[in-house]
Amino acid sequence: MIINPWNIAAALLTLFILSFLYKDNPLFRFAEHLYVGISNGYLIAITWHNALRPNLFDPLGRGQYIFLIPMVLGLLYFTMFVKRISWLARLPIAFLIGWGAGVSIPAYFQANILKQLHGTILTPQSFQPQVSSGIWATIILIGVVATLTYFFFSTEHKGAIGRVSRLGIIFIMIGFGASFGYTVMARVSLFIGRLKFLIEFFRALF
Amino acid sequence: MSIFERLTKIDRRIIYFVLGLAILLPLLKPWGIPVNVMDRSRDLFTFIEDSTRGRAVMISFDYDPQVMPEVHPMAYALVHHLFALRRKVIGLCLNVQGTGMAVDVFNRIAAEYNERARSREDSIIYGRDYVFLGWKSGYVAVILGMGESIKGVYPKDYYGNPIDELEVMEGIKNYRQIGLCISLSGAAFPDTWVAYAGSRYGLRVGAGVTAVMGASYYPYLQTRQLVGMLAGLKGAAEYETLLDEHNIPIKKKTAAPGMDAQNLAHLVMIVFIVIGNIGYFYLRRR
Repeated sequence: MIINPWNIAAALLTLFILSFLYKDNPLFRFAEHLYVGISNGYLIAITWHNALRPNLFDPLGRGQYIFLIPMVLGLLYFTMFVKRISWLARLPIAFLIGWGAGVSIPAYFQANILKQLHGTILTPQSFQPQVSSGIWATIILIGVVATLTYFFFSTEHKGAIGRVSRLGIIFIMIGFGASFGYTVMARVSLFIGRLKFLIEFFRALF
Repeated sequence: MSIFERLTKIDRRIIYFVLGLAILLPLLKPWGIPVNVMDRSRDLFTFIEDSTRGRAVMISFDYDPQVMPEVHPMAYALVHHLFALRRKVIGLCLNVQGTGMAVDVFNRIAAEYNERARSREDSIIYGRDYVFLGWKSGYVAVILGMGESIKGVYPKDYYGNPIDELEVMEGIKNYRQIGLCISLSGAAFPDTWVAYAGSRYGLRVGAGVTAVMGASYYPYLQTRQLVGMLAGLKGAAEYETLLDEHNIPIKKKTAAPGMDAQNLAHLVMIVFIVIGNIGYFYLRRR
C-alpha cells in the first residue's frame, strides 16, 4: 500500500467511525456527516454524467425534441412542492406505476410464485438421483404448509391447526436464526475488510 | 449483583473489545484453517467449467463500495476463473456505483494475467477477451432490452467504443449467446435478473451476494433458478479454494486470509450468546 493523502484520510476516517464503539463523539459525527455529504455529491455527479447528460441533454442538444416528453414528465414530480398544482405529480407517478406493474407482475408471478410452487411439489423424481434430496424436499413441503398454516387467521389455532401452526413457528424461528447468523457473518466480514486495510496501512507507515 | 445478573449485563464495550481482538489476532498471524466448500459455490464453479463452453459469460457488477469487503473478492475470483478458461467476458452494471468496482477488477486481473503472458495470444486484451459496457439507468428496461438486443441498449462500451467494432462481441446479439449471467450484488438485483432475464428469456443466472442476503436466496437455488451462489466473504473464500483445487493460480487471495478471523469471531459470538442465555434462564427460573 502506498502512503498518500487519500489512504491517510481513509485510515483516519475509519478510526473516527470505529470510535463510536466506545461512545458517541465529535470525530465520529464529523466522519458520519462527511460520508453522507460525499455520498450525495458523488451520486449527483454520477447521475449527471451517466444518466441525465447522455440520456436527456445530449439528445436534446442534437435536436431530438421527443426527449422533451420524458423531461416534462420528470419535472412534473417537482410540482408536489406547490400545493395548488401538486396534483400534476400524479401524472408521472401513474405512468411509472402503470409501466412498472405491467412489466413486473407477470415476471415476478412467474419467478416467485409459479416456480416456487413448482419447487414445492413432491414427485417420485424428487427422490432421484439421491434419496436425501427427496428427504429435503419433504422437509421443505412440510415447512411451507406449516408456515402458511401459521399465517392462516380465519380459524382459531386450536387442535390439529394449532399443532401445525406451532410447527410453522419452529420453521419461522429457524429461518430467523439462519438470517441472523448470516447477518453476523456479514457484519464481521465488513469489519475484517476495514481491519485488513488498517493493518496494511500501518505496516506501510512503519 | 449475582454472577448471573452480571452475565446478562456485560458492558457492550467489553464485547466489542473481545470481538475486535478475535478478529485482529488471526489477521496478524493467520492459522490457515481449511475452508470447507459448500455445494452452492461448487455448483456455480462447475456450471462455469462445464456449461459455458463456447459461450460468453456476463458479469453484472451490481454492488457499491459499502459491500466491497464481501463482494469484491468474489468478483476477483470469478473474473480470474473466466480469464483462465478463456471465456468471453461481458461486464456491466445495474448499480451506478458498480462502475468503479468493475474497472478495478478487470484492470487488476487482466494486468495479473498479462504480467506472465508470453505472447499476444496468451494475454488478456480488452475488446478481444472482455468488454465493459458500463451503467445505464432503468435497470428493468436494461435487462429486458438486452434480451432483444445488447447493442440496442449499449451501442457503445464504457470507454465510448462502438460495440460492433469489438472482437469480443462478434456473434453476440442477445441472451441466446450468453451462457451465464452472474449478478454480484449488495441489493436485490439477482431477483431482478431471475425474474426478467431468467423467466422471460431463459438466461441462466448465478449470484454473488452479501451474507445478509444469503438466506433469502436459498429458495432460488432449490428451484434451480440460480445455478449457484456465493454468499459473503465465506463464498468468496470457497471460490478461491476451488480455484486452488483446479490448479488455477491466484496471485493474491483476498477472501481466504479473512476466514480465520471470521471463524474465531463466530466462536466468540456463540460464547457470548451462550453466556447471555445462561444468565437469562437462571434469572427467569429464580
